[in-house]
Amino acid sequence: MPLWGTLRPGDSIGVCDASIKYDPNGLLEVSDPYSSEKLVVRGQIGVLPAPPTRRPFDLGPTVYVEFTHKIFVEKGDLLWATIPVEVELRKKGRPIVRLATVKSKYTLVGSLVEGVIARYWRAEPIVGSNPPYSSLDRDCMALVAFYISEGADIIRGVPFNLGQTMIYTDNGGRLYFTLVEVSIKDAIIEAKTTSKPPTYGLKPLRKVSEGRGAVLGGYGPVVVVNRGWRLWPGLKT
Amino acid sequence: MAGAENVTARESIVGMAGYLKVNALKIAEAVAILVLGALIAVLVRSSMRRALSVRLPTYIYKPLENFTFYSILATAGILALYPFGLNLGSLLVAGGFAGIVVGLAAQNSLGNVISGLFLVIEQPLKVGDPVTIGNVSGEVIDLRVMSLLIRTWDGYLVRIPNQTVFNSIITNYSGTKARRIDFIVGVHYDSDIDRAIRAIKKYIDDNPYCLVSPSPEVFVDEYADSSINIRIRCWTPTRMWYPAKMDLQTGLKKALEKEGIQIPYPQLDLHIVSSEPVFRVETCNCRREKEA
Repeated sequence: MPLWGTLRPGDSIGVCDASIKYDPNGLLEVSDPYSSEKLVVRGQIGVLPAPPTRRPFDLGPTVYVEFTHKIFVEKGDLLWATIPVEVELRKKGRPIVRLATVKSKYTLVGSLVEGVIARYWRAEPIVGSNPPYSSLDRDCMALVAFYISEGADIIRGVPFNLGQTMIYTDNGGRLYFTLVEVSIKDAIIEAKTTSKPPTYGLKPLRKVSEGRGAVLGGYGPVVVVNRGWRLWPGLKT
Repeated sequence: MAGAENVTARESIVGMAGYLKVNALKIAEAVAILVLGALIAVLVRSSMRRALSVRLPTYIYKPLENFTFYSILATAGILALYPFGLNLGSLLVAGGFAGIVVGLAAQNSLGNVISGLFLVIEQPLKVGDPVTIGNVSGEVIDLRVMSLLIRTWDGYLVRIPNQTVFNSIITNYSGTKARRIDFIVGVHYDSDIDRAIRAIKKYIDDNPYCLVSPSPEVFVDEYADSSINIRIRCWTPTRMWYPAKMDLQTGLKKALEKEGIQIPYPQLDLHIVSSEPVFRVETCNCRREKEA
C-alpha cells in the first residue's frame, strides 16, 4: 500500500521509527519512539503526514531548523532543508492518533522571558531553485523552502511556525511544507509561513471525509497561517 | 373670600419671583456646577471603562468605576450648595470623621481589596500559574476581591488574603519559558570520570525534555568524602520541569549502571596499621627510680 492514504484492516506500515499495524479484527497497534498504544477501530483509517509539532508533547507550533553549517544568504535566495513529519491517523475526519517518526528535541529561541520553545531540527542547508531530492533520504522527511525576501547576512538557522500549515506532494510522493519567507534586517530574522507551495507542480494533501479515507491529490482548502516571528539578534553569528 | 385667596396666591407668586430674581445668579451657578459635575462624571466613567475593562476583571473595574462616578456626582452636589451659603468645612469634618470610623472598622478588608487591585494591575501571578507564596506552593486557582486561592501540589485548597500575598515574596514558576533542573550525582572514586560524563550527556541528549539551547552542563563539582560529585544542569520547558526531573533522576542511575559506573553510598575506611598501641604509657615513677 502507498505510505500516505488509506489504511484497511490487515494493513501494516512503518514510517521511519513509527509503526502501524491494523489487524483484520480491527485492533490497531501503533508505536513511535516515545510510546505505543492499542485501540479498536473499524473500517478504513486515513494516514496523513502532519507538521512535527505534537509528539512527544505539544509545546506550540514553532520549529527551529538549525543548519549544519553557517550559511551566507541574500535577497532572492531559496534555501532548502529537510525536516521530519509526524503521522496522523484520522477516522471520520477527526484525528485519532499522532505518531512521531523520529526522536526529537526542543530548544529555546529568544530570551527566557520573551522567547519561545521550538521543536529543534538540524539539517543541511541547500541553496538552489530546484528541490534537492537527494536529501530526502527517508520517507518520513519533507522539504521546507526558505525564500530570502529581504536582507543579506550569515545565518545558522531559521525559526518558523508550522501549526496549521498545508503539506504538499508531487508526482513522486515527496512531501513539501509551504514556503517560508525570511527577511533579515538589523540582525533580526523574521520568518513568515506563507500559503504558497515552495515550487511548481505540487498538489496540497487533501483531507476528505472518512468514508473514502484520506487520500492524496486534489485541492483542498489551503490553510493560511501564521504571523512572523521577530527574534533576537543571537540568530546572527 | 375668593378675593383674599387670590391676593395670597398673588403675593406668594410675587414673593417667589422676587426670591428667584434675587437668587437667580446663585441658582444658575448651582445648576451649572451640577451639569458640569455630571458631565465630568460621565467622561471619567467612559474613559475608565475604556482603559480598565481590557486590563482588569469586571469585578475589579466595575466597582472602581461606580465609586469614581458617584464620588464625582456627590462632590458636585455638595459644591452646588456652596453658593447658598452652606458651610463646606463642617460637612468635610463630618465626612472625615465618618471616613476614619469606617476606615478603622474595615482596615483589613480594605487593605485586601486594594492589595487585590494592585495584584491585578502589577500581575506578578495569574490564574493557572504555579507559584510559591511564603511557604505555600501550588497552582493559582482564583484571584478574588479579598483573597487568593491556591491548590497546593498535594491537592489542598489554601486561601491567602490579598494583603499577605502582596507583602510576601512571590516565586512564579511560569514567568519564563524554560526552567533549569540542577542536581548532583556522586560516582565512585574508582570510576572512569570521562565515561560517566559521556553516559550522562548521552542520556540527556536522548531525553526530549532537556533543551538543546540553553545547552546542558555536566561537570565535576566536588571531590566529596565518599564520591566524586558530578553536577548536572539541564533546561527544560517550564511545563515539563517536573516530569523531566523525575525522568532524569530515575533514568540516570540506570544509565550509569549500564556503563558500569557505581554510585557509592557514604562509607568510612578504617585503616589499622599495627596491633600494638601507638603510645606506651608508663605508670612507674622512673625518674625517681633512676636518681635512686
